[in-house]
Amino acid sequence: MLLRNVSVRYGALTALDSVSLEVQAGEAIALVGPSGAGKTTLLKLFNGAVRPSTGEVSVDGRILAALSPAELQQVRADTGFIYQDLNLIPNLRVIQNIVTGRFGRRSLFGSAVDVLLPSRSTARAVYRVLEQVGIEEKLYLRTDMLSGGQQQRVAIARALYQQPRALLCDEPVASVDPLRARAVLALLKKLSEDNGLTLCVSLHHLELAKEFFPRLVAVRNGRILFDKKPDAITDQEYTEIYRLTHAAENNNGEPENTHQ
Amino acid sequence: MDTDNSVNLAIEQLHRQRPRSRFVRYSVCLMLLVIALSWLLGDFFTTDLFNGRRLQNLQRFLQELIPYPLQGRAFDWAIALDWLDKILADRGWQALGTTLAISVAAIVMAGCSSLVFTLLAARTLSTTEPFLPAPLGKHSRFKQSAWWLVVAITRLMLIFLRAIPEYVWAFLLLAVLGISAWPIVLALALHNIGILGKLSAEVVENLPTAALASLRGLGASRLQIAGAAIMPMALPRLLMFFFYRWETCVREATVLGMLGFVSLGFWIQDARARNVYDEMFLLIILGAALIMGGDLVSAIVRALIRNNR
Amino acid sequence: MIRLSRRRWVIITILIAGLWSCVALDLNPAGLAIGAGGLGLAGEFFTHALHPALQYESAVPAGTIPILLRSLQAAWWTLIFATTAISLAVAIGMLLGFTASTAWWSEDLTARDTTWRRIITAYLAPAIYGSTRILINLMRSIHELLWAVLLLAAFGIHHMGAAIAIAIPCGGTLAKIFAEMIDETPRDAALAMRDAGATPLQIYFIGLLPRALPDIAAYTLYRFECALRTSAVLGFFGFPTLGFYIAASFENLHYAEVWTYLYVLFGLVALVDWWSGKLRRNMLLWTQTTA
Repeated sequence: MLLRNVSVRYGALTALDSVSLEVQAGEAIALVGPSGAGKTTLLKLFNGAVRPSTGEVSVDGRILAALSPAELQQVRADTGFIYQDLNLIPNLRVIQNIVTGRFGRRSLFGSAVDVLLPSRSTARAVYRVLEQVGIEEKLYLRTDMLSGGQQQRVAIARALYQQPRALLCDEPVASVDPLRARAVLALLKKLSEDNGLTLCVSLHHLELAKEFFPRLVAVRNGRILFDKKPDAITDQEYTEIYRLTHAAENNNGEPENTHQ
Repeated sequence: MDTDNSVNLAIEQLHRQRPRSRFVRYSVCLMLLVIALSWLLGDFFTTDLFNGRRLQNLQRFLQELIPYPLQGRAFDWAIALDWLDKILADRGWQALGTTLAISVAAIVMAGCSSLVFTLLAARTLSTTEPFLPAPLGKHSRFKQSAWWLVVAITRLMLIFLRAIPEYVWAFLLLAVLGISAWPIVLALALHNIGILGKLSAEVVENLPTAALASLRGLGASRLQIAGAAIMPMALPRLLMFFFYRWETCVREATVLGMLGFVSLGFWIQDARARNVYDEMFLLIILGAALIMGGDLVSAIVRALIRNNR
Repeated sequence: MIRLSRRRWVIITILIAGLWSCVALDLNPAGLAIGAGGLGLAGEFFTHALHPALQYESAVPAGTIPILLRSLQAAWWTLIFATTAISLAVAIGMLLGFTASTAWWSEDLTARDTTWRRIITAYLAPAIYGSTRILINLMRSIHELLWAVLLLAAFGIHHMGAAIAIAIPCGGTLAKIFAEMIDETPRDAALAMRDAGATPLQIYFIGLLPRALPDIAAYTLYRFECALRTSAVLGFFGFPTLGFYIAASFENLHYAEVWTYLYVLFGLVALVDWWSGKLRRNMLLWTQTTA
């Protein structure tokens, strides 16, 4: 996945400004920075959900803007996205929420069948995906009956069910205590390693990012501050980012997302 | 494959244990059964809707919908407008005005009166100790049963008012009160008291109790709490319901005249009795226009209330 | 000029409008003074409230079923017309609700990539949307009884006419509410589906519709109760529902019989009310696992 000199502007607001970033297949990187720095927008560029105002986004050497609609849909189906708000349908069962992951490859009739009367092989496939995240016994429960952490794992399972080549996670541990945060990040790392996926996670917690990811990309005010291995980060850069992320947290009490 | 089998077994067990509601399933089956029976047993298809005689009737009827002076001739705006003008001047405008007045009078009466019943029917207010934990002792248990009776009777009365359609109320009241505006307005008002009372009682019951409990703790009486806290809190939603019901009142008012009071419904029935279908159709369309106008006003006012205090 | 909030202005306007209407209609309390004749009638009528007829009040042709059975039969007919009408109305409502909603062609859920898609979202869909909205308003603005009058004049008495007469305005209202509910459903899950590659139709039917389904079902049940009451009133126009017998017995001055039919109507509506309330509560929390 490659961003070359990308800028994203919403009217007068510049979300990203001349950003260049390259991610190799199978890599695991963390986007660090305070809320509103542009991490979510960056992730959405990889998904095709956001179009750059200038510059180009390419996946596997193919520029997204040049793809036909069908090919773009294929790229989207190949990219799994886990939202900060999870974006699940609360009154459907877990299995029904997960099968929506493969809708990009199913017809309208097929998707209806998957939701209303899933076949045995579909149920098996969903079960296997749930096993990977550890909540397979919740297969038929209503999604809003699960705890927040369990719902997050449903969202992760939904992304896995897509059989993607990359996994993009937007602030998965933003409002989670450190112990649970470690568990979630460890799970994400394990899943991406087991399935050979490229992993991009946006965080605002620097220490956690250093602990789990071999490469950190710091984002501030729509620009990349640095893009290095954890041990290569200078003290000055570290303090800068630390100050920004913690200042943002202390100011607002809870980090907020300015653009979705 | 072995793992496939064990997975299959696990899935089946989870599937069997999945949460579902027996009541919902049986109800859905019952509904489908009743729908099927209704279609089959309702004599809907026994006589042909489109046999020869009926088709002729239909054709004749459609012809008669065309304004009388225009039948059989080429369309002419002057003649059409003249025909329209005569009907409007003779009865149209007056009928529209009367119908509108009926709807407004009825809903305002219903709205004001339902407030009393709302307070009586709200279980949170109609108890021995509203918003605070119930006291113990034989004396207060007797009082509690008395309050429960009050709520039950009020709710039963509201259900009865709702269950009888406005048309039936109007029919009965016309016999008792003679032909005037009162039976029609009362019929609409009574029915809507039943509906507004119930809806408002639910709104009151769902109000957050913290502020109300503290008022009660300070010693306020039920009436004081109602006026000072409950009404302001519940008012936006009550106003929304009020306007929704007004829209329905306008619709009902267009037909209640058919029972005898001079308004839109009366003239429609009159035209129908005289077999003057073109006028009947025009009056129906006028009624539709009145209703659409009322819906528009209601939507505007509701948007105003919603967006601002 | 006193500064009042909009709400206060609205209330003041409402009260003034109410007062003006009462004046315009000559509604003074004197009108409520029931004349001697009316009072006698009212008295007679209400005394029978506690003694509804269990048998016919005057001689009836041989072979007529007992009054209790006839009232139940009338209730059954009332139910028949209401259920057929609501089933038609749901079909109309689903179809028109789809064309009257913006969700399946709105900007955030549809990619405007292919030319065909661009034509649909820019021209075709808005045109269909606009005309459907107009059609729905026309359907809703003529009262069920007036539709019945029109259909009676056009086709004579036919049960299908009754069902259609109720179904048209009911279907129009259902369509409007369906479209509004679906358009106002939170779209977060739908956006997730879009990002995973789903088509707009998939998003509409599986991302938005199931989320709105509980509210849609609740409103449909409420509309069913309305259809039930309208079905009873259609009896005044000649159909075999409860209204027919209420009118007939009243005109014959058999007030006790009228109360029998009124109580049966009350019972029918109360029963449906209780059932639909229980169904709504159960749909909200189906947490019970079957033993």
